[in-house]
Amino acid sequence: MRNSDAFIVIAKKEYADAVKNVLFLTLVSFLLGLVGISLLVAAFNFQSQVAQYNQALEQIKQSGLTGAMLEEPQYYPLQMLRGTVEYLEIIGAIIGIILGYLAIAKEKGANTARLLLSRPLGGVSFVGGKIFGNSLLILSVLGIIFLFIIVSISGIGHVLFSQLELLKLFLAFLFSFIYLVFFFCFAMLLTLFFRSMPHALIVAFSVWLVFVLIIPQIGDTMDPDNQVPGGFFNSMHMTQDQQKRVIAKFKRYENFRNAMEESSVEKHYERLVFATLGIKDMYNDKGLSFIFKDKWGDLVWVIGYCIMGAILSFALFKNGRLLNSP
Amino acid sequence: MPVIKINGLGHRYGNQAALNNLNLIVLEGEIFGFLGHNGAGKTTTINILTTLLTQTSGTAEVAGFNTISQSRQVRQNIGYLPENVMFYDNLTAFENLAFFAKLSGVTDIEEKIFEVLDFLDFRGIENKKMGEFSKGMRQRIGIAQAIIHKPKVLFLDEPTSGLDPMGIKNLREIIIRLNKEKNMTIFMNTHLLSEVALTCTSIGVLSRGHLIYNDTLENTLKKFPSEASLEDIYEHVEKTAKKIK
Repeated sequence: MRNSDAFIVIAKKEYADAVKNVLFLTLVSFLLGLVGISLLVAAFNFQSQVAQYNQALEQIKQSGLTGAMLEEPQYYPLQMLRGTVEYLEIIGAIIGIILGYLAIAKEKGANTARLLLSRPLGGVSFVGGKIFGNSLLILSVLGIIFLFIIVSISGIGHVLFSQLELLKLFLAFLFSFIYLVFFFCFAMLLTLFFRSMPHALIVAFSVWLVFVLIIPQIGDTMDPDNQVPGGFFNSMHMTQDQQKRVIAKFKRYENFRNAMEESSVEKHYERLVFATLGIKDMYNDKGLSFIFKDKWGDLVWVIGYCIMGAILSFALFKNGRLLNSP
Repeated sequence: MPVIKINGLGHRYGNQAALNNLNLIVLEGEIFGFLGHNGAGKTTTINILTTLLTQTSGTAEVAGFNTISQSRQVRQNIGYLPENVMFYDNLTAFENLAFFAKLSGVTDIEEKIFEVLDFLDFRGIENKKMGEFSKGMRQRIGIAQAIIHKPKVLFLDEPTSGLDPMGIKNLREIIIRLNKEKNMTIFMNTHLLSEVALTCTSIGVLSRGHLIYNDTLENTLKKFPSEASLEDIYEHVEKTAKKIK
């Protein structure tokens, strides 16, 4: 049998297994529910902002003044995706971990690994097939969310996306895909590495807790700009240059805070996606070249983590790691 | 013609030796019974021959291929039924067999599955979930997955373990038919001497990692005319081996 055939057979089975898995379906439903609620709230909020503006405009016109006196506000519909990105950061990572764990645990735990490994398939087909099948699954989940976003924002918020916005949305989902695949690979390599599967799951969730929840939270809390709602620098009406000059005075503190955030793949992902979608105000109205020039480091980190996870999964594949008994 | 050639095979788990300088030849068409107590090294030997485990010393060839350098070719030519075979319980018997058949490169899957189920006299169960199967039924599906790609050599690790007397009888008949009708060489680990006497054409006895006896069943029975049963022969061989040591 050719390697590619075995690769496809394994990948197809991974996909089919996951869509029948109650835990996976529950988590996906949970994620979709939360994303749905956040989108609906954001879309209604957006709709009401537009309605408020239109109402004000109408009142001005009725009072005999010209509409031009009321400056047309700038709306950034992609900013509505803040909640979606945050849910993907947290629950998406859990889905990746669960999929990665199950991909190996189901063979190791049930001892079907013996039957699999006695077939003419190599480690590349085995690990590659599992990564590919689960990546397709992650892509499907993100695809559903992607469609849901477009339908809800354009349907409820009555927003027509520009081509650039659609491209930014697509890129944000590409980065989300890479981020989720990293967590899949990470959990898979841990389940391959540890003889005891519960240990693998505990370590995976400990890392998730520290690097997805705790460190980014500490980093955010330590961020001087987050000390005042709406942003400290914003409320002080400081320009970008002024902000940089102030931060330069606290260089050591800022370096420490930054180093902490740099250690978290989640923070790199968040910075990248927040910039791409313009959730961070300074990236609104900016082209992709500006965003990537500023955020290429985060992009490299996210892709690097993912590639490293996949390489280590291949490297750790050994028959002995899958067989429970000698 | 030798189908399995083992030369100076050794394996250690840490400091503990599981196999010591094992030399063995199994000829084509044989049903070889590999006897020994629990922990004697039988499963380690099968694991090495099926390429699941890499030996720490010596060489092994199966169907003319080296188990290390040509492991893929070895796996193309073998079928394997592990002790306590497990399947994907959420899938049907057909889906399980189709999955393993595809991985073995079988093309006409449906035809081959029904052919194998007919051979095992097991038609009608294909749409049942594996989770609903009894131990004996699983063992039959285990045989089915092991022979669906028509391997040259079939490895059975304690195949009768956990089966009721009727299940043991059925399995015995299947093993003999596979050997006679499908021309498969069979390498069977067991500690049940009664099974060896009724099924095998040659035997090897393994004790604490050492092969202490190897001959055809016919010669064995001739060599020990005074021994009443195979159990007595086994006891005799083990005692002799201990004395030599």
